[in-house]
Amino acid sequence: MIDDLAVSPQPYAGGLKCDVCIVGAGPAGISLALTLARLRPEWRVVLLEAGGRDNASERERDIYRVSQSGRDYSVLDISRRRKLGGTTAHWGGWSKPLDDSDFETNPSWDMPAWPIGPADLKAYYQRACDWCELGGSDFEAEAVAGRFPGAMLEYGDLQGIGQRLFRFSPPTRFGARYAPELEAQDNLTCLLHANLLQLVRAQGKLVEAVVAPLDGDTLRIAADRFVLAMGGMETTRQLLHLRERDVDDGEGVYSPHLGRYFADHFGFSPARLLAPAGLKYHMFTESQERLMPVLTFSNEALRGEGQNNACMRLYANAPDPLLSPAYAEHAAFGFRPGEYWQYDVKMTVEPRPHRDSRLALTNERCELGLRRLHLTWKIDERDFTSAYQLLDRLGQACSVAGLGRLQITRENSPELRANVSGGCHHMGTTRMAARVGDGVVDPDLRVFDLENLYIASSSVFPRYGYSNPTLTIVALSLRLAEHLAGVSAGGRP
Amino acid sequence: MISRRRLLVGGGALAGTGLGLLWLRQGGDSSLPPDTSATGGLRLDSGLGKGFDRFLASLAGTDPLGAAWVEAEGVEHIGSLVDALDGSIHTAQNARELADAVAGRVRADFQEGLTCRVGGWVLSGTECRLVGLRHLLLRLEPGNAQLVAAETKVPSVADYAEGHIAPLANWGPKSTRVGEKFNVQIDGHSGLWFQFSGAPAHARIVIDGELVKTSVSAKVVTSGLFGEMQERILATPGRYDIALVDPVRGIRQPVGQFVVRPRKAASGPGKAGFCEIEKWGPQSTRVGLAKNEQPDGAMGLWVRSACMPRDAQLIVGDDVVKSSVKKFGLSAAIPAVFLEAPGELELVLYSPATGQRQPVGVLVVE
Repeated sequence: MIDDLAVSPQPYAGGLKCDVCIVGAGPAGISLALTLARLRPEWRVVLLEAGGRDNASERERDIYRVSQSGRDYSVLDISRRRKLGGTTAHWGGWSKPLDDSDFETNPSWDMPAWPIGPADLKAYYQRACDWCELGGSDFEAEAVAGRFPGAMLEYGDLQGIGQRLFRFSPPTRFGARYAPELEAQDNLTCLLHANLLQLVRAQGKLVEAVVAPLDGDTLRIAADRFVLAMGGMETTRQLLHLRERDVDDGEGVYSPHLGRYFADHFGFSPARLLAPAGLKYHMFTESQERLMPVLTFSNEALRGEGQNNACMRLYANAPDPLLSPAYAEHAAFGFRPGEYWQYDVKMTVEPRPHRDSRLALTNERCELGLRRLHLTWKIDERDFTSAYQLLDRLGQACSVAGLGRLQITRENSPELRANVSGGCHHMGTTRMAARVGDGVVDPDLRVFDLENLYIASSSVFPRYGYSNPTLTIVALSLRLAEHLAGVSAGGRP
Repeated sequence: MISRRRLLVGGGALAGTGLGLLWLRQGGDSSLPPDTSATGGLRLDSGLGKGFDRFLASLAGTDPLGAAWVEAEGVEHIGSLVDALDGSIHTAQNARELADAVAGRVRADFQEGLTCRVGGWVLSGTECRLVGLRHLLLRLEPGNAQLVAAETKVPSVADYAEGHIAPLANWGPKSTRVGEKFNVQIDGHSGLWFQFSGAPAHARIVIDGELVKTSVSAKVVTSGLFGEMQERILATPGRYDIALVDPVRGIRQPVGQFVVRPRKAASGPGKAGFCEIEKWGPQSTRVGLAKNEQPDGAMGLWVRSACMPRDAQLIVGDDVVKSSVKKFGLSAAIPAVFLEAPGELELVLYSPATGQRQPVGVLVVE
């Protein structure tokens, strides 16, 4: 069922007891709560959402207002949604698993990557595709290349370059799409306008969550296990509040990693490519199916050279008069025959974990009494260098193969580096690790120093790739649901 | 990259390089006036023979590139460029061998990192030297200027004499409404077709005084509204002249006028609220593509109005976006993430001081 504490708090005045309490009803919380409730029909699951069914009021938005320093994170205000369904209320539906190499530690970086591998998530990615209502679950670009002749460059032609495929959710608005199922699930209670005021801990575990509507009485929820699924910033804020001492030299909520390594994918348009006409390295629709092949580094380059992962999209545009598409008619310059267009190249770049890019608590408090967050967003300059090396690789590969030429339209300059914006993907501040000294949560998403607190959020990503995170967030949540329910992959309790 | 020093070694003479230029040198007698029949009318004499001259002449449309490279590198001596050409190019026995040798050298340049930059384009060193050499040679003969210009662009189509190029049976589409693309092609441009019979391959379509990308076949010429031009024309009601031009002959053949009608009242600029909006744009874009892209990847959007409140903000859907009140009205940045999905984004102006809201229109993400 779904109840709104702001409208009818009476039934819960005496508090609630449940097996699992999930805070945050975005894609992570909803997929986790429904899966868990179905796997364990004898359990009671409570799902708390600070917002309602509609967009947050100005008063509600003020609760998570964040101050900033360092690089301007201009998408801060638009990147969160305090409402049922969370950020799926306005996501674009771009979906793709992390690449296999994204799980691997980059030898050039100073932090370990995922303690789990793609095989650990494979089955959950399949099911996450269903939750996100994708048209398929095959993300290999080569698998669709044959269906669209001329849309992609021939694989093998381009040394050092790889190709991947995005699919698209309709996009699924998790709040609207799954509200009927939340309503119908007997052993699940979803409470709207339940602002989390406090997590109460005792002897190495959480015992209660204290919540309240903005102008109502508090409600105490006791649970055997708690999951924070509040997005990549509010989740971290709550964990920082669990510190009873202002130190960060321990484990879990006292980890020096908590709040650090804040990351977001960033992008820019640095180049133009002269290449065969009709390439479709951008979103296109075919038989009502939306697809988007992208160009990347090859796996060999990523692993052998320690490059950042990144992807490139191409958009046909008016040609540069200096070098018209007719230039490619000069076979003596090595061009393969055919019509050529010019394309703007748009890149999405994986940032490396940056220790000084962080969320921290300030001494200012919101009306809930919680300390506000301060964001310092940083990007390592070497991330740009890697992105430009990918561009160079593409230019060289196309030129050697007789398939085009590259034009750098924006140099890797201080101005460019200062002005890139984020993609609204908040990652890294509660990173997952195999060793307690390397992160905040373990491979089962449990906070290291608390035996019954788990995190379902992109904040656990220890390495980020370039893929939009929602599909991975849902896959991790489905995996967490099975872990909490005590079942093996796809099994029963 | 090739160093400037390397390019400047050697003198200015066109004399031989000591390499075997057997085929290239055939017919290279400088005591005779140059024969331009095999070079498309271009007067071009490298001293390396007719074969090589024909090859250089065939690199049509590369003069802007050559000029830019020569200027950027400060290259003045033709001989230095000749000397720097690869030996396999010098020893080519026929046109096919020459083309193969150049292609092989170009490929090897890229593999070996022997590249050069011209206007941001990353080219092989051999390409740069060849287009640079061509440019310098063509520049020696003033008579080449007109032909070179015709190779690349029409200097000023407004100056062309009106005349007949090819018979026109029909063309279309002939109209649209503000903000509405038509006959949308895969790269996002609005396509126009013209049933010309026998238009020359170098003919171009001119729309509103600007040359546009043109494709010519035996019976049909295709063109359309591209990029910023499309944005501009579709944003403003009016009649836009279309013509076919022959840049070689300098002739302009009027086709007709393309009409952009005002948007229907329901979706037109807002007139209620606090201030009348004259124009705004861009009114459409493609998924993932920020038109009028800002340094941070956002799409720059403008709203023209003579009475914009000083505290006006733009609301996109549910969010206030970065806005700045200007002399002409207001500019705003639509974050790239808003353009990730197809759909319609409702734009509203908001004045926090008065609480008034003014509908602007709908931004279409295709």
